[in-house]
Amino acid sequence: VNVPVDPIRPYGDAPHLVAVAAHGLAGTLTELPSSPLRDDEWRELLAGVRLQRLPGLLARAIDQGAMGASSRQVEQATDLHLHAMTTTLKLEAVLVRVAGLLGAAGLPFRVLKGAASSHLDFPDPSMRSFQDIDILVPPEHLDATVRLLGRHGFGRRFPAPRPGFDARFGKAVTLVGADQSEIDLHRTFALGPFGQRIQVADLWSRPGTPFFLAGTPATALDPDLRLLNAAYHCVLGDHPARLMPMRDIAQLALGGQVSATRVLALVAGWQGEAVLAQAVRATWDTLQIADMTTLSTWADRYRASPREERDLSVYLDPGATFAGKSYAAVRGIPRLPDRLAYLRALLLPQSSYLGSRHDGRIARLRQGTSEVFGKAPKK
Amino acid sequence: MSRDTIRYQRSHDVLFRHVRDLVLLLDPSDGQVVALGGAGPDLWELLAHPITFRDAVSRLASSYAVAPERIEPEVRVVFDHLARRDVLVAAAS
Repeated sequence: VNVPVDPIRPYGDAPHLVAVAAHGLAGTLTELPSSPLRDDEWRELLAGVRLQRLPGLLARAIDQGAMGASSRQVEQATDLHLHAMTTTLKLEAVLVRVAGLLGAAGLPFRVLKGAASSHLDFPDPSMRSFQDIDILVPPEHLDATVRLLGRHGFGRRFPAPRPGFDARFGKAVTLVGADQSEIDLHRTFALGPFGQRIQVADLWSRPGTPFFLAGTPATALDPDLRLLNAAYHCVLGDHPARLMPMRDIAQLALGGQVSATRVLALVAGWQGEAVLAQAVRATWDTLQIADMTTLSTWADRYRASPREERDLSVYLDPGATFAGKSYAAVRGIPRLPDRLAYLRALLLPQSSYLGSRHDGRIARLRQGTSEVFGKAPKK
Repeated sequence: MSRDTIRYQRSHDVLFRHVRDLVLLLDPSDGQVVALGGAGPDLWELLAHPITFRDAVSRLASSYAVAPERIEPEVRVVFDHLARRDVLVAAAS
């Protein structure tokens, strides 16, 4: 497998977009334009800001006078920010409701990603928008949580492949509310081999960081785990990596609350050093951060093993698929009986799951065997 | 006690964000997003702590360097709108 482990620079031709993503970060060498961009440059920037969910940072850069903009550009940037914040507030209202339901039922949870980091890691939550709600739930409470929220109008997008699969092997269960708002109930951070190697008990070993949402108590992961969540999301989520997870990483890594020693110990236990190293390197390179920290120095020196490169390729290859990551996850499951149970669920799922995602058992088996044994399925 | 002399503050149940010279509020009564402009964002800041309507008008007039009676009608519209929708609550005395 010949996959570059060092990040390609996908934003090399978008210096303004990168400078917006880095605006306000201590130590960034990026430069925002001091005078208004040409129309074509501005249109391109605005499209990138929308795609990368950076309207809060663009608006802040303009409002603080760090970036030049014409009155029309100010108006467009404000409109984009208003739209993003309207969506964010509506999602946050759903989160408040869900947090209230889970709290009243005594079901533990942790708010993940944007809904937590906007309040805990940014100076102003208006800087960080988000498009969905992610919640971590202990595996032993996952089914009860799905049932509880189901009674309050949140239905599963897809059935489980087999009973018990979600709590044992799944990454997340997606629920959809009556207003089409989506909630991802996570067991772990990622699909595939790196996701399976995460020690889920580590995610619950500390009390987390409490915060309030409209008077409703909620809890996020502690800063070390928030950093690792952002790193896994950055490298194993979209490809090329998005700028907002990089900003989340920088915000945490430079924020003074993260213990590099604990982060490195945790990720070593998860055999995820290649993921963290790539995430930190991509963040430092892309956002052009000059400050050297324990984590950035470690990431620069880290060299992935051939096995790590092979596992990363499952996520980073141009043809990477959901199914490919699902079947490659077998490599991250240590015990043989668990591997067999996992494969059985993927190759022979219950009929309700087949009806929702695949044409039928034969097609499923064909796709599964091709993913496991690396052969192209016959059409 | 006159409504103008009751001390009010923001309800803890309200979600909000700052966007440039606006404050966006999620109205808890109907889930709609409301934008406060004009003197609204400054009033919203004052309402972080318990304050009477009269004191709010006085503080805003002072910061804008205008007579209180000049801004009172606009502030009252915003104040009443927020109070009607339970975005403001009477502070415990």
